Amino acid sequence: MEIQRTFLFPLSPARATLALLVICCAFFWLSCGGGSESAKGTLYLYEPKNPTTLDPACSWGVFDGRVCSMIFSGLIRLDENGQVVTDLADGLSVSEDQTRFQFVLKEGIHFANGDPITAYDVKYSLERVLHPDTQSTTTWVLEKILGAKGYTEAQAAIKAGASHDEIDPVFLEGVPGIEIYEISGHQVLNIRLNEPFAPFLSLLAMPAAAIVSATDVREAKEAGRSFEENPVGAGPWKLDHWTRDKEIVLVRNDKYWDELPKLEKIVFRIIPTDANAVSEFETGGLDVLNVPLPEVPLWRQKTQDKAILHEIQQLHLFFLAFNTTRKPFDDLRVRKAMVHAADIGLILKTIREDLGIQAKGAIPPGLLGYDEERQPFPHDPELARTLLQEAGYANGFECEILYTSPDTRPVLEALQAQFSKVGISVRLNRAEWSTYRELRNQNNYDIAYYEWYADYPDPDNFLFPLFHSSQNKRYRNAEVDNIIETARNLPDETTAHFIDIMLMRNPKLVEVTREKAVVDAKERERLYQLADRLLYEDCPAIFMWHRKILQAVNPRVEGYREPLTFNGTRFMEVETG
Amino acid sequence: MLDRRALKRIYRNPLVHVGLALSMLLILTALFAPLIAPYDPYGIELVERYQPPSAQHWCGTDELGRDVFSRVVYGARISLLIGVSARSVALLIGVILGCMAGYYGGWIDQLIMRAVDITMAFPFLLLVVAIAVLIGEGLFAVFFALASVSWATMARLMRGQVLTVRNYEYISAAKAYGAPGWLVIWKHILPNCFAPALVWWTMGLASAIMAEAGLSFLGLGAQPPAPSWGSMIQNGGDALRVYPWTSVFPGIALALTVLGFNLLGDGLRDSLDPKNLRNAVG
Amino acid sequence: MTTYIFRRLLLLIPILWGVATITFFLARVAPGDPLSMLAGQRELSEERRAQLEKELGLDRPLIIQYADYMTDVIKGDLGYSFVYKQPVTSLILECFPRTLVLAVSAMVVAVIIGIAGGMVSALLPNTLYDRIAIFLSLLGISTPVFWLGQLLILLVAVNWRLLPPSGYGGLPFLILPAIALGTQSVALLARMTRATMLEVLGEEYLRTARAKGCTPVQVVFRHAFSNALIPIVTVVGLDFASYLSGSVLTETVFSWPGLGRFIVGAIANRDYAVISGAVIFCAFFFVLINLIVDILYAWLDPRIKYA
Repeated sequence: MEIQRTFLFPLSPARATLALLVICCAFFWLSCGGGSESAKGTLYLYEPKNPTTLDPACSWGVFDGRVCSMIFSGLIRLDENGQVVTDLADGLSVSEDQTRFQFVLKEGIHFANGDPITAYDVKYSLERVLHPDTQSTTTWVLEKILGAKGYTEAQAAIKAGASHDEIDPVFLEGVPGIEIYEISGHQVLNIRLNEPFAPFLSLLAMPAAAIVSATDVREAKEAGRSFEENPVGAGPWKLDHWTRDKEIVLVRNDKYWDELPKLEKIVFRIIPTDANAVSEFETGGLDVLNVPLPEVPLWRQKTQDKAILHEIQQLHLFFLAFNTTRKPFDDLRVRKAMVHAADIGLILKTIREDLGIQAKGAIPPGLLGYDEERQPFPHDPELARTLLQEAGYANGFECEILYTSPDTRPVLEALQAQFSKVGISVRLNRAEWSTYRELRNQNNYDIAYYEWYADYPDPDNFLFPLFHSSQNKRYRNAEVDNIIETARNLPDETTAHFIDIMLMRNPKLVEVTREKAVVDAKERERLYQLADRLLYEDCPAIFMWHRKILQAVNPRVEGYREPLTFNGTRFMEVETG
Repeated sequence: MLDRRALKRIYRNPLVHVGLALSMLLILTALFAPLIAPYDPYGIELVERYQPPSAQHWCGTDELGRDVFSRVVYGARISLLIGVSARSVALLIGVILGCMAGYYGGWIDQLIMRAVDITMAFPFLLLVVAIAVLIGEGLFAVFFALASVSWATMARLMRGQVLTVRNYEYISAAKAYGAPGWLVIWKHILPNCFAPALVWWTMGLASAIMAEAGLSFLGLGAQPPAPSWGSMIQNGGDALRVYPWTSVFPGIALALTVLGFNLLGDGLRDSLDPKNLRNAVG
Repeated sequence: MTTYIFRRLLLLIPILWGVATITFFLARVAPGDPLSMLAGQRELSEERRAQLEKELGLDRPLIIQYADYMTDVIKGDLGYSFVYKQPVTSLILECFPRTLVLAVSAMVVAVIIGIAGGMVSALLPNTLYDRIAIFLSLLGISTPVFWLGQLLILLVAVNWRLLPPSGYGGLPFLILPAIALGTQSVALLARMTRATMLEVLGEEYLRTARAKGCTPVQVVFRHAFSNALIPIVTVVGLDFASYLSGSVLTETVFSWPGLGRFIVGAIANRDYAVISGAVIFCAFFFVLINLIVDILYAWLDPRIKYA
């Protein structure tokens, strides 16, 4: 009996149950974070992953950039159609050679925390990106500015302990190419470039050129708090909170200089799987859905009262790049054989549900230099075999395709089967993003998957970073390099419109200069068309397609438009019922 | 060793029968996959994609028009291969290290047991993910990761067994006659540990197969176009609502396999564990 | 007892040191470019790459990085995430409570179903009910959690619209993931409950208790069940510990913003400090929970004495 007593559990079952219930309730109460009922005046969007950062100086991803362009304003921005419009700049004038830009700031504008925006903030923001402490990887956006690289190096030297005497004094003050002053009460900012750079204005719409508050950044640094906890910008939205892996909530910024957005709140939910996004859209937890491929046929048949469908062509390129420094891909015949062996049209029609336009070069439709006329190489396994034979690979060869996005897998599996029919045996090597990047850095691959979205709506953004030999070390074509370099230093048509009296002081001359610049700008189009054709003929890659998306929008949403570039919309006109 | 009474108990347990049947089914499927599968599991027919189950395609076709049934059949090979190889290697490592720790004691014991502690303190799935990342994604990584993690429990089990057996009269006697350590372990200790090791191996087979599927689901396991059940479930996941057969059938196959080994292991444990003599089913 | 606990806590040190060291080198030896998460598709120029590596301290010899890291860890500083630019500790503390909520709820589900099922099985041993219960619980453990999760979402959330399909929030969001995760422990719990209860129900003293006039309910709950608690505590403890770090799959399927997903993300990002910090954190919890289980053991069963 003695043992028995000590064995008894001190709680009676009833009391134990009660205690358990209380604990449960406490837990649920603690974990309560509000429901997902879609509220009026709130728009629910989603992304599969967290943004890497909300600091515009470091942002590079599509999602980061999207949120940054809503929280922050720059001197100029892009609209839905990719056109340059002024934002915090009131006026903009450009010199005849397009190397000097003058911005006059709007008056009486404020950051979301109420601080006034000065030209100093602008200068500080741009220099902050270039400063080594910021650890930005998007310095390329600003590196055409006179003295930008020198500034970064000088600051790094100072950090490393160099005394001020050893540093060129121009860099102590800041970037020499950025000057601020006041003209009759107006705050003015001058930017000088090393050389003319056609896409420069569009670059200024990138997050890296967003304006942050100098005071706030310094205070945050002193207080030891991360800039991202409470980023202060001058965009129409401000960050309410970011719960990692759950959501980013933006609320209207009442201090915005222009008319306020019609919505009160935008919620970006983080939903990692497509299946969940569909479920959420159907149950009302999301307002906009990118229909996942398996569901596309089903949605196309759906009635429009449940969801309004749009097919949207994106500024995008999907291609498989050859490592032309490796055998056998140094041989054009081999590259061409693989292009002919692939039945891209069929894959596009089946696996991609016709959502995309087959690529026949690097430049997507809608940009300068896109050639409507040219036809993609036909699917022709016979020809492929002949080409392989000529190149001395009658029995085929083995190679590897390096990729990272799991969505690409079915496409690559289909290609794998198609290649095997001409005797090329392909292994698929999926590597995680960081491993993939490392292998690419080391030039250690045969064929690599690339997916590219435009940063700015200019063909330079597809040709220079992807096929210029200074950027892509696995392909070198002197002719293409040459054309790309020439074209990016030619006058740009958009920029030409801003060539202005303020710098020239002679209205008549301005008119003539502008017209001449517009004519010169036509030369860019010709050059890009030529470069694109050369790429098409030289097959540095299997150009796959420019993708489209099927987007479903909840009928309660009005005025939603998918922009051309990631930073092209701030949802000003969107309303939800 | 398995004595007659234990075998009798195993024989009388109906759940073990089910487990055995399912396991045999898996093994036979894996062995005779080419005879069973009506189609080439890698045969892509883009125009035939997403066909619902029919007389031609018993389990329908997937997003590339491959026959799901054939892929499920071949998937049995991957599951079995990974499960058996990872588990056996882990068993070997565990037995050797466990015996050494238990038999020799002292600093060897300390060293091995701290290694066991550390391995067990690692979050299992995370360590497996890390190893898969380290040596590159693929089946070998899964095998390597599973083996290098799961030896620890075996080592601990083995050490316990050796410690209990070590002081038995006949072992002391053998030692006294000057038999070398390895011979004592081999001839006298190991046979005593056969039953728990068998249970451990069988039960673990289920979890190893599950882990392989989980890793493939996360995209870290078998690489395309290998028909791993985990990656089939992952690939079919987005299509679950529209084309449920692409992920439901591999899911059922996986569940039945794991169930089979679990039932078998469970039954073996019930039957071989002397503590359960009285309550053993039947 | 106190010396025992002290000794166990002392044992934590070599374990955590081992875990930290292995993780440190595993993460850094692994292929992968840590700057890739900062750079995107665009190639970094050589000079920019060198500058960034210097800024992040990645250019120093590995052994010095290791020494620095260990010194920081001893001081209780788990370092700084270079992707999120925040202290690792605050990042972990942000995700951990959510995983804890999920783990506790899953355990509650598992305990309720598992113990109830096991008890009824033990009271009706070798009947059809018993066999079906065991079969079902084993089926539960055999169903892959990611697959079960997908099916639950499709059925309960999308077709029947009873619960939200995914995400993080109040009770409704918790139910499906808790069921999916908890199912994994039901089988073992039911089995344990059944086996120990059968064992206890056959003991002499229960017959005595019954003879003394205790009602069957009292016998089952007060006597038999309380004895079955010891193995149950073990199972609950061990499974709970594994939930805390191993619910990656459940978290992925249900978009639950927990620690598991966070760590897998960090591994993919090669966010070294986060990987090491989070693994040390998980290992610490694992060992701690093991210790608690052992102490509970002693508390529940006075026959067990720790020297």
